[in-house]
Amino acid sequence: MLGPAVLNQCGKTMIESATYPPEINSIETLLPAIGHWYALHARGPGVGTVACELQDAHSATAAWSTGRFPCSFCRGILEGACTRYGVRPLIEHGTSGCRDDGAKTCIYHVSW
Amino acid sequence: MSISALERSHSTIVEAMVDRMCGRAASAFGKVGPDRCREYAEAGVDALERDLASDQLDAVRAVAYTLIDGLDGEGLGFSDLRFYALTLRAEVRAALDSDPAAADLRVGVEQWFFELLLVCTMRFIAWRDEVMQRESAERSVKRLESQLDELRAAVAEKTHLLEVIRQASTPIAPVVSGILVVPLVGLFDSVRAENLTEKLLQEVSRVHAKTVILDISGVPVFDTGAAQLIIRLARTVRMLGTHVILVGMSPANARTIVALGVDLAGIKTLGTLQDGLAQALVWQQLRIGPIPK
Repeated sequence: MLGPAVLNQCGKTMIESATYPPEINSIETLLPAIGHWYALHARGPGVGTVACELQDAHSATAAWSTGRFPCSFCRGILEGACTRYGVRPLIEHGTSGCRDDGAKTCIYHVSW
Repeated sequence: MSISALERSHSTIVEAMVDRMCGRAASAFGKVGPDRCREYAEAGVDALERDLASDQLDAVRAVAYTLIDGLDGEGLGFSDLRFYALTLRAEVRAALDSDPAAADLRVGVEQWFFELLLVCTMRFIAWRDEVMQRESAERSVKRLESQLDELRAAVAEKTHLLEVIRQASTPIAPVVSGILVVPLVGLFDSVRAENLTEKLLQEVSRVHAKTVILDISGVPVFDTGAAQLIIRLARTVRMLGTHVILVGMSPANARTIVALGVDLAGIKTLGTLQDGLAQALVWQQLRIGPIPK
């Protein structure tokens, strides 16, 4: 069993080291694209959805409705999407429940 | 400073705030519902009006404290506070932009929101520190309780082992019918004396023993306390009509007893277990002899 810190680091490293098209060059362009890439790469039935919406110039809300990854791994992905561009974000879990505890969706508020 | 432009838009700002606060997904505002959201929106606009009217920055602090303390336990995050401040600012600016007479209010409004963010940040950090300290203290208490449980289990196991050793170190051997031999090994203390007395009395009654031989050759220190305990044990046994013989007294122990002035009168003392057994057999009018061919 991997602990939350390791899973977080896995997600972070994954998105930090991935190759993106040249037009993806900032947090503001990377975060909203995560859902599309997830839909393109996830295989099989019941892959769920990932949606990330910018709230303003320095904050976004991400909703992960997939049973495939634990919460800490997804937090790591969001963190990596910011640290890739040299920014350490504040990621806060929403109040509507966590998939690790049986909820359908995890919502994260990302500020940077 | 005239705040009439702001007062005219008061209800519009509040309603717009409530809509946006309630519409924020998975937030403390969505959790508490529209009534509480309206309270916080009203409080924010009221404080802004009061501070602008008095040209002070007092009410802004109360708003920040009310917001953070009121939403404590509802999953309040810093992003919620940021959302509140930015939303209120956006609605106020939208209202003022549509009113040409409110141009002189804008500087004061910006100062007020700057102060609001400062106070919110400071208060939020203090609140989160408090939560972390509380959680840390709870974890420490749990860890200590766990250690205490482990210690209790270890003490219980040790006590059990000591009891087993104590039981094993005070055997009562019925060597011949009516004769019991009690070899004492190790330190002879009051607890052990108490246990042995109870056990020996039961055994004497059960086998109708005539003589008990106490072998103290295995007792390393035979001081006043130990001697008194032995004497008390012997007297108790004698009340059942049973003779007591003390054997295995080392020269050092004998000197100690004399030096301490312990009175062993009434207790037969012999050098070895063999002597004691021989004496007991005489009292029983028995003897150990060769089996005739």
